[in-house]
Amino acid sequence: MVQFKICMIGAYRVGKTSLVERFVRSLYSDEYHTTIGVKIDKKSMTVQGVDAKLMIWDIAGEDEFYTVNNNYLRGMAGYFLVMDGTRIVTLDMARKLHKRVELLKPGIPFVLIANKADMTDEWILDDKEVENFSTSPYRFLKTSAKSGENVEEAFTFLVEEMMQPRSK
Amino acid sequence: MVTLADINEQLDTVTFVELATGEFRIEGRVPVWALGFCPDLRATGQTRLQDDFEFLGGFIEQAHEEFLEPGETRIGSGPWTERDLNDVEHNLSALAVIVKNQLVIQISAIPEELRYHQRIFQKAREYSLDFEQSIRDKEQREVLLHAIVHDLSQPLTMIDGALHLSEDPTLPREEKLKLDQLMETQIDSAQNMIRSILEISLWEHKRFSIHDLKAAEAPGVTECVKTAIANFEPVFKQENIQLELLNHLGASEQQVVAEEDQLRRVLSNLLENALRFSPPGSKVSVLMEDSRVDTTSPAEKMVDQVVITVSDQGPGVSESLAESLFQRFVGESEFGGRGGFGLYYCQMCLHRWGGKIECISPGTSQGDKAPSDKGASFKLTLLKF
Repeated sequence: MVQFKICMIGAYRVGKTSLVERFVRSLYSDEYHTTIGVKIDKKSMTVQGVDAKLMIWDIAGEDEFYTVNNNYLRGMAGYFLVMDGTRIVTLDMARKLHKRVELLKPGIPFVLIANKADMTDEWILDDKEVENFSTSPYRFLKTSAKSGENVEEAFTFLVEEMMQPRSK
Repeated sequence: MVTLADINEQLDTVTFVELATGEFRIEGRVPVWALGFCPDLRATGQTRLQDDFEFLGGFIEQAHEEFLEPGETRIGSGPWTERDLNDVEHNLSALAVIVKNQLVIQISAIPEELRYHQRIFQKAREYSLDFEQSIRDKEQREVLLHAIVHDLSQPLTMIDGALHLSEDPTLPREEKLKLDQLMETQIDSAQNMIRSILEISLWEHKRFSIHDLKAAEAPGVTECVKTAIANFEPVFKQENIQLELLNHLGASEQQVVAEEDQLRRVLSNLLENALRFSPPGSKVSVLMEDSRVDTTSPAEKMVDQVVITVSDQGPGVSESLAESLFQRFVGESEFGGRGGFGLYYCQMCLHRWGGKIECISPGTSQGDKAPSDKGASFKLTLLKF
């Protein structure tokens, strides 16, 4: 069994914890409980015939009150950069965080997520705004922790990417 | 005598000292919660913390690195939450110190402290979200204010034009009556606009959905275009600008996904814009045609559309202007008179209806699609109902 450390990063209240909760326990709650520090969960899955154990580090959302501790990213094999499709400011934060991660771990696989895809009426994120988001390979997915849309797919894709041999 | 074990027990804390093997020896008693992570600890008295706690691997690595730096004597981990082997969630924090050249890790269970931090952060973030919302509300109010100013100026322009024309003593009585009628229509139109603009402020709460649009409410596009043209004809005539309609849609009326009042205003905005930038003796054309687009997603279906293109022979639009033209109301002076709220309003409407608006001008990257080698064209794409 291979083990991967995955980090969830993004602005606050974009749904990082809800995505993990949906993926790990198939649960969802509309209530918002801000994450303090980091919350660690684990789940095993089989991708392309390989058993993988995922250590998921759900890192508190960054804002003016809290900065993501770079030490939390140690040993990370891939990450989710999560935005809220109904709040454009979360795209700015995603860009900022991505820039920082690229400096620490250039070229590490990531999946860019626009969460809350179920909130179609309030959706304001234009797909064009995330075109050419990064020069590193990445995939963009619209997810909904509420409905479960694309959540499993996002994790599967990231694991596939992490399993690819990579030049150091 | 008070021992370290007593203190640890009282503080719900556990202390470990790193051994040369990379394992950690416990100092004092083992709290019950720690057994959830390292069940053999009571028996063996030592363990590999890096393996027992997912979080601590990186923290111990960090401690080793940072203690190599002169002056570093203690490092705090910050709070973290982790599940033990029985899937019980624990809120913890750790402290690393160097004592007599040995790394000491103290781990504390911090349920109350974490809840306290959480309450403060939660409040701060709720206030931040309220602030974000208030910024959006403020923008919405600004938009509304400009909408009122802009949209009221339009009927006034037409009333002004009609008044000037009616002053002509040679004008036949029937023509004067037509102008009176036009002025009345414009006054009605202004009142309707105010009502419609107030509706826009409710868009935030009352969303437009194609699924809710009833057949009786879907506007006929030819009729809307003809009405808009008829309203503007007097002022175009006064300015000696030709206004022509090129209808390639066929005889039957085509309903589109839109709201009738707003669609009329979108068309009026584009005609007024064309009027302002057209030199005397030039021509403004309104082309209506069908379009069929393969969306390729999600079900690879073809979408039927109506395209309306309003083209003038004015100075055109530069590349930089075309990019920012629809983005946001900034102030007309910054756009050399083009843009302003009118086009932003058009974009808001088209976006709401699932359509789009584009500016095509010889000076832009899409210049090769421009119907003429001068002037600007505004292309509206509407979904057929």
